[in-house]
Amino acid sequence: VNCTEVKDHLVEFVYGELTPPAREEVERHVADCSLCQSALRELRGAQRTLSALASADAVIPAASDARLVAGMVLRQDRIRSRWQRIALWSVTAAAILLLTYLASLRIEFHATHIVLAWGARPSSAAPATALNVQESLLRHEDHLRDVDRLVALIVRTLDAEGSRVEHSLATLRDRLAAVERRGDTRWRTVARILPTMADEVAAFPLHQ
Amino acid sequence: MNGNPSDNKTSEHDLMNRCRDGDSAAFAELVHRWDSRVCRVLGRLTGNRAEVEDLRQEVFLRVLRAAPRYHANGSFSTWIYRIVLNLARDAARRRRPVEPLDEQTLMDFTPDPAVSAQQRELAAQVGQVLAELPQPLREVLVLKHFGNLTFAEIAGVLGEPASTVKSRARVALSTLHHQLSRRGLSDEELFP
Repeated sequence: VNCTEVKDHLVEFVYGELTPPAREEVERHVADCSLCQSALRELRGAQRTLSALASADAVIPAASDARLVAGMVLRQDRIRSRWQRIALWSVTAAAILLLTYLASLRIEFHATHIVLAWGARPSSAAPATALNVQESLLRHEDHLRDVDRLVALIVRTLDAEGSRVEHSLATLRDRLAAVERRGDTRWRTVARILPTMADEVAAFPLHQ
Repeated sequence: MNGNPSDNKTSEHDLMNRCRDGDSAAFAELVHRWDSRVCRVLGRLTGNRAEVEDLRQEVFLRVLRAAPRYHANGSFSTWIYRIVLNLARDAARRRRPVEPLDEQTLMDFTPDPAVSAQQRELAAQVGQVLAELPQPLREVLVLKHFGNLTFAEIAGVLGEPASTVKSRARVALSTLHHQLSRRGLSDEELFP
């Protein structure tokens, strides 16, 4: 083997990971090669230094198993409660959105029809302060008074219409009765004059 | 295998199967076996003791969560160190720009009172040089020395060819040697 091949295997040689035949080949070469001896010294020195450091590090663990497991349980709870918080906020946000839309639902009563429509959404720029809420309630109070007035007007209109219809029906009944009376009179007239007419017809000289 | 600390006991695969069935004693046994190694590797990968405490919990939490999906078709050590490596890399990304590590933080990794003050100081300097190595080089040396993995296993953890891992190990050791020499420390006097 040459220096290049040995160099490729030196690190495995240092850590004892070569097969026995490969290790013997490296040993034979290094015994006669000062360059490879120098490279081996360098690697082995650093390797031993790190091994010593690792031995000194062996005393690191401080927390007991119980503390570790307790920490893990807490961490899992934190993760769970984080998801619960997210879920709660999502539902709350959805509910607020729904209420916003419902609050802007517009219902208008007219004399002949009712309008159901989505009103303008509340301005998002205006914060919902106590004053705004009070103003909103007052506005609603006005609106309710208007609705009240409208309903009263509709009831009155319907009553008036009802009276008019009743009056018309009575008139119609009267008119029908009058027609009937007139008819009777005419029929009686016809019945009275019919025999006379018949006599006149019979007495009429057809072939004069 | 180097990564398995308990050849004569229940295997990690069996413990993972028991974890999957909700056996908390099996999980406690896994933690008992692996906590020390996980902490050492995390400590040297992140260079920050405060982070180790947080990340070790995350490592075992991931082990527990992965138990139902765990398949014994590879080495357990490769699998758990991959979790460790990914968490350490994520932590390093969050920390950018890189915070310089003070010697006191590094010395805290060797709090054994039996270790002399001089040795602790030397250990801190070696730790400093290790922490200053480029991440790909540092990862190989940390997994080798603090995770006790073979080069083949390190290749499995990193997802790199074994030849690349060995080449990095050679460069990393050589760089470490030269950096220590620059500080006036020879390998022999550090840990005779």
